[in-house]
Amino acid sequence: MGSLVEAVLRLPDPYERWQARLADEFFSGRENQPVVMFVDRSVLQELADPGEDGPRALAAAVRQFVDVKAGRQMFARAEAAESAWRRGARDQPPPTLPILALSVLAASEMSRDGVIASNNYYIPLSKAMLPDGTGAEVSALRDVLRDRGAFTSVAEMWGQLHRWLTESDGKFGVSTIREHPDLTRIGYPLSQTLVRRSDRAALTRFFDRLNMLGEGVPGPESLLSMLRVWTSYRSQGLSERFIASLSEPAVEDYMRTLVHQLAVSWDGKIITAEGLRRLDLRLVIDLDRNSTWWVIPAVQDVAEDVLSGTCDGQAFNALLAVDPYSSLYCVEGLPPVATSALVAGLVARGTSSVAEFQPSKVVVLADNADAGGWMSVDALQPYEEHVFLVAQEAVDEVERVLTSAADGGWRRVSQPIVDQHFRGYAIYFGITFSDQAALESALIKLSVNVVASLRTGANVRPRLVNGLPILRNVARNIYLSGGEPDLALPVGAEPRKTAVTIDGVTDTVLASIFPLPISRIDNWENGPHVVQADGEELKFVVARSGGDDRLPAGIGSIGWENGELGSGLPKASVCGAIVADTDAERPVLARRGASESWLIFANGQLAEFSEPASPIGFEHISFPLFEIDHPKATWLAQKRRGRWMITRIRFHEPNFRALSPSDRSLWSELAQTVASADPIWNMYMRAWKTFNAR
Amino acid sequence: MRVDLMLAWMSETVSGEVRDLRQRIAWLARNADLNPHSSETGRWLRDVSALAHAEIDWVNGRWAVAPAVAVLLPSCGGTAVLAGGRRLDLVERLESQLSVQTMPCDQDRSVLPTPTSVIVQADSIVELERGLADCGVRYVGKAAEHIAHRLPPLRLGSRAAPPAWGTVVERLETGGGDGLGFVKVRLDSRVGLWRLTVQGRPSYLYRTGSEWFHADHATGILWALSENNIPVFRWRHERTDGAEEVGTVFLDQGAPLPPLQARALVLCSGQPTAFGDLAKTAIYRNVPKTVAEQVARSVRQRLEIIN
Repeated sequence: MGSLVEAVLRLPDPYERWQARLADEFFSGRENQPVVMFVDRSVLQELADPGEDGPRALAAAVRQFVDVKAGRQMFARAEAAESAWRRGARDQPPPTLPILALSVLAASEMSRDGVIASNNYYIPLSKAMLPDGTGAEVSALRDVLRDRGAFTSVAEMWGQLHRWLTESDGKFGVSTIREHPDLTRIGYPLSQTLVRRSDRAALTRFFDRLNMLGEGVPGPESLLSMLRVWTSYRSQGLSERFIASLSEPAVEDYMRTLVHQLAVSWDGKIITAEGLRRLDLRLVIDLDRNSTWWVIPAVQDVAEDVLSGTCDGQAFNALLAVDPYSSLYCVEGLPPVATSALVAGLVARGTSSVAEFQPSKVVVLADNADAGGWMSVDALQPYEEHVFLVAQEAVDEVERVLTSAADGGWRRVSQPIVDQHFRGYAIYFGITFSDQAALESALIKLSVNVVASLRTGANVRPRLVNGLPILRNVARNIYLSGGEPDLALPVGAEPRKTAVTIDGVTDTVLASIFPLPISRIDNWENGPHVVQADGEELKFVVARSGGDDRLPAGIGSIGWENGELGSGLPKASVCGAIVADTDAERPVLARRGASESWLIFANGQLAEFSEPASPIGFEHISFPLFEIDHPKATWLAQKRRGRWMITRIRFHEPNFRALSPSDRSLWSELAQTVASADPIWNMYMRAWKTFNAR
Repeated sequence: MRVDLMLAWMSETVSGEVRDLRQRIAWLARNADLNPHSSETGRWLRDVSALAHAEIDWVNGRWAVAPAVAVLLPSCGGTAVLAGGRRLDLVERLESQLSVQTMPCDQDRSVLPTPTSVIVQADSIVELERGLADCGVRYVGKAAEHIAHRLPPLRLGSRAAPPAWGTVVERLETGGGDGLGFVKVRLDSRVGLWRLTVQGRPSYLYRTGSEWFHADHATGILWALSENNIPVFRWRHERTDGAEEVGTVFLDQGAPLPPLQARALVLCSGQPTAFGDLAKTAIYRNVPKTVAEQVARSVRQRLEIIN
């Protein structure tokens, strides 16, 4: 009896081979990563042996284990095998993967045209199981699966797979299998068709743009919202099915959860569907020398590679290596820039990376010091100067935008010069946009292809930018009072209004490449503030100072020595207004506005003194004092409102002699009215008294 | 434009990259509905350097705020002006110790105003020095004279290779009626200052006979003026204070000054360079004749005294 059971439960060889292939493809090395068992014809073909027809071979293998003529009980053997597996160690996936894979293949066939309903699932499933069956056979199988409820067993198998993944606590991956509120049974396989391998690869670029490693993972709702903005004008390498699902109410919840799961488990690498690191090929134009070339911005996890590709029918190999002094790779062997690459794009593929230039009718370029010219960029930046490379068919539209919305000063490069490298294109330079209303107004009239290049912002998630941040070594979100940051909102190809809440006060704003200047909205008090937009919460702190009473390191770190400016000089000759080895002058000061002023000399003689003219060229500044620096005078006596005041100019003992009558008269007056505790003045008083007594 | 906020931020941040600083200046200006051209943020930085608030290392793209000091203005009755870093609460703290007057930048002189000139006074220098020290500000005396005394003579940079054949070049023309100007010409054998564009940025070479030398913008122009015996430095006497003759310096034809020379003149008044009609004449107020002479001599000019 035991051997009979074993014989029944033993998986047929072809079935077991597919079980192993699928287990290896989807459940091996996937610890804590969302597992999506996406299967379509191409995936099955990749999994098949060379020369084998993948979908047919899988169907044949399944039919060895599933008796399609056994009516409602057709999956009995598979159910028994799964039951036996349940009682075992369960350290491998349940033995139902080939059946489940066929159910996904059917769902992928069904959803290719975007129409999803249970009544058009069972024909693709029957065809998947009987790829060479007659119409009658397929129809009969459809009836059994759908009307007689045989498919319920498959739905149960999906449930079992989900439970196993969950109970394994992420060891084999995180389940993305979901029930569907309306399409209960077929919802399971359907859930596995929405995100294919290429979608997962393309999403890594989106995750990178979100700067999740630095700023954390956004919530599920805002993540989906930002993804819709990111894909609003370009598929970004995502499948049509995926993009359609983002806005499909029936699967929205599922997509929200799944994208979030993928974001949480992202390892920080941008990959292609083949698992290669994605690099950007960027176009550089030197307008001064009328030259153009390709560059590749460096990424952390690719140090070198040999990239190969074809341009204008010519194969090329380019050596990529890190340049420690530049943000760009050192690349040798890339082809010259050709118009064909602008029209169709250019791809250079290596062993660990792939560099790509995406074609566009309007290429926006910005000045880049490392590139040594104008380098193509993803998005237009307000207030920054740009160069546009524009395909002939978009020239009229772009010129209209420039005329009505760009700051003055833009020019078109002479066409014969442009034609040397970019036949069929125009180049404009000196382009700056600083009028938000004018740009928005101009963009309304443009075609999607052109508008996408001009409206789309650099951000895919709300972000605090600009402002005057302080204490950056402590936190990234502390701003000097009055220098609060701007809020940059994600901007897609379509105009978009969104609610922005700051400290509980909500307003609706138009998302634009022009960020929202928070510092202009209010006088923000010192302390924390909260901004909410697109489902994200951003916090910033306002402070009047860094609060550190120590003299910050770095003050005066640049100075002059021998007429040359340098950093870290131990004792600069000049730094700001400090000049080394000089003494600060300390002139004697006297108050202006006296009715009489006299200089007193050590010999007791006096000379009338006129106050110097007030400084000129200082509007609204009063100068109540003047410097008194006579080379011989020792005191200044000033009469103010009938009273005499004295100011000592220098220390010098008195040595009275030969005073004139007017000197004597003045001394008499001073002796009677000046009240001073200054011992030197008292010496002068004694000297006067002695002299006067002679 | 809350320009003092920018200086406060620089004082908090202490040092950084010139490119980042220029972006933040432009941002602050835009928040005041100004839309400065990039040359204006450069001009602002040169003013801030001349006012001794910060040192700007254009070659290495770095800036650093200078120590907070008070500079005695020449023949101004013990009046000092603040230079160097200035945090947001500094003026408030000084007001509790000293007489403080402020002189906002003349908004008409340029699109981007420079930081407010803060003037401090006390009944004596001792009192002034003590009040400043309590607020962390060092009194340095007549910095304009100290700097003028240390000015290095103008000199060209290191030897340079001649421009490559076919390079687009401009040559400084000094003889035109409209003052100095660069004119696009074909490279020839004439001596003088030549301007090239290297990686999108201007680069200057000075040719003396068969040799070429690197030069910065100001040095190159002043050297050319000197070689052609073109005087541009004038001083007009305005008042005498004791032994000091004080007046106004006029620098003609839009001739630029190297940073330390500009600082020596600007720190005589604590006010940024003013400009005359059509910005062809730079004007520096309250300059002692001795300072004017030292600055003129350092740039190979003879000071012309005018009435």
